[in-house]
Amino acid sequence: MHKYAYQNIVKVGIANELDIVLAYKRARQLTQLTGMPVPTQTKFATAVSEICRNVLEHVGEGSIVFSIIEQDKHLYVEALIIDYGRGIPNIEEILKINIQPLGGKGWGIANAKKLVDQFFIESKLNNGTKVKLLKKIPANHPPINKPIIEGWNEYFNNESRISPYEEIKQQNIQLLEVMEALRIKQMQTEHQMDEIKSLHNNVSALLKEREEANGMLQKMNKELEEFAYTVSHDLKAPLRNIQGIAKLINKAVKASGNEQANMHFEMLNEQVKRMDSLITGILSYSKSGRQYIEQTTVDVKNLLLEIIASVALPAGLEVQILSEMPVLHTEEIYLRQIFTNLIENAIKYHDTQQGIIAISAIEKEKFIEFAVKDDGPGIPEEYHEKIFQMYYSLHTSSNDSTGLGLSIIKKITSEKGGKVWVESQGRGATFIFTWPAETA
Amino acid sequence: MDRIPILKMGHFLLVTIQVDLYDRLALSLENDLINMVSQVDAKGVLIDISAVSIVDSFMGRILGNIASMTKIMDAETVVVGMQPAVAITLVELGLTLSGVHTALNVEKGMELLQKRIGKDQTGEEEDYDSND
Repeated sequence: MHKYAYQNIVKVGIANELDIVLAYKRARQLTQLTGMPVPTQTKFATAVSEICRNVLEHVGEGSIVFSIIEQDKHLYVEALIIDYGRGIPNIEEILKINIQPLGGKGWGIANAKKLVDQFFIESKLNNGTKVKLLKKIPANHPPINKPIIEGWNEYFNNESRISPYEEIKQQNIQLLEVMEALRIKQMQTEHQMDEIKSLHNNVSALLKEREEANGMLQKMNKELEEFAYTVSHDLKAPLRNIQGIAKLINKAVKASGNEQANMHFEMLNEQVKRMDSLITGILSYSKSGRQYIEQTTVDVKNLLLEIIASVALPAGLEVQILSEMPVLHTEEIYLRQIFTNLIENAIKYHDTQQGIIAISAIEKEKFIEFAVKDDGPGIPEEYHEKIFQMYYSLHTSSNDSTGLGLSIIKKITSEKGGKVWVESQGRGATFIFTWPAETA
Repeated sequence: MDRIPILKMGHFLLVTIQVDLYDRLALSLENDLINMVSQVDAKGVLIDISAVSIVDSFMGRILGNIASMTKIMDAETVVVGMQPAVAITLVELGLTLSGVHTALNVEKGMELLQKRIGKDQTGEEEDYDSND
């Protein structure tokens, strides 16, 4: 019976004829380290070489592990060579051969057996072969203990690094691994590139579509504005003619003293006026932002006083200018239009005998926030957005409401980079708009 | 692939094996030597194996083959510088390297070759070494 004193001191994989060289080199080194004489080293290494060559020749792949075993108080170097080939069917016969066959082939096992102290072979059909070669370590061997074996391990590990073949083999394996990793990386990159390309194409197509749609929209917008301008402009002339003719007929009717007809003419006049203000509204909406208007120095307080004087202010309603008003360098006509619209609205929709319309201004960084506050009926919240849409009026019954006033304000303020909104809860409404603070 | 250099010196070819012989290297050496003998009309081949630490049955067979083939090509082969341990192993194995002449070192190997060629030329057939 034998037991392992130091197992697996060094291992060599056998897959190449250079591995045989490495295996017998290791055999020589180990036997030398254990203090065996040179001829013994050579014999053991030759036996290892014979068996390893058999493995390579008949199976193609295997491994050899060197260990030190103890048997009957003696130490042995053991080489355990294992392969997983078909097995050797006629071992008994091979071991009996004692005459060198012609050509010298098929002699490996018998040769190896001659060169070692103990030889074990175990072969199973289709289950590989195990060969154990034992060589006795001389009794006067140098000390062998755990630290020394560790030193040998280190020696073999370092040595394998400087052995050119081992080095090349290691590098080859590393190279293959790197190549494989690179191949995978490249595949991934190609895949990502394809995705990026297709995304890019999609984005380009979308951008092109959007550009086309934008261009179309701009063209349509321009056409629409021009159409509105032309139509409203052209409608004014016949309307004025109708007004003139109506006046003449009215005179004749008045002379005839027909009261009924007279009343109808007043209604006709009202309708003509309404039509006129509607056309004027459309005209100014389409004009706003289209024309270049010169900027002048505008004293907002003076402007407001002028507007208040020009609007028909019913008795009981009062317009107050609450705060200091700025002097701006801006388009006067726009500001006049906005304030006129807002003040007129406040007057128009006021539902009580007494009332106050208050105008104020607050400076906020680059903008001035103007507010026109009334104490009229107020505007329910659901209409706060709608009232700024074109032709939308809360008071459809009112004859002189075109539903354009607030939409014109919205258009003008947005042209100037500002905004307009309404604040109203219960009674009273405050219209607020922002205007660039370009002071004079 | 590696190759072992073969030097031509007069009618002789000189080979010094200084690396560990692996199978293909040994086979290519065998092939190269035979071709070279034919090309340069060599009369003798001297193989120095002083740096070879292992001669197993395969290497022994290669050396035997080289000797047999050169003999057929009308040349002699002498193997020199065999390490004692290798010789001991070969004897233990029973590998007698038949047909291979041996000498202790290159100098003695050259002498042996000269003598053998002289003998061949005078028609003498006596062998000088014990391996025949």
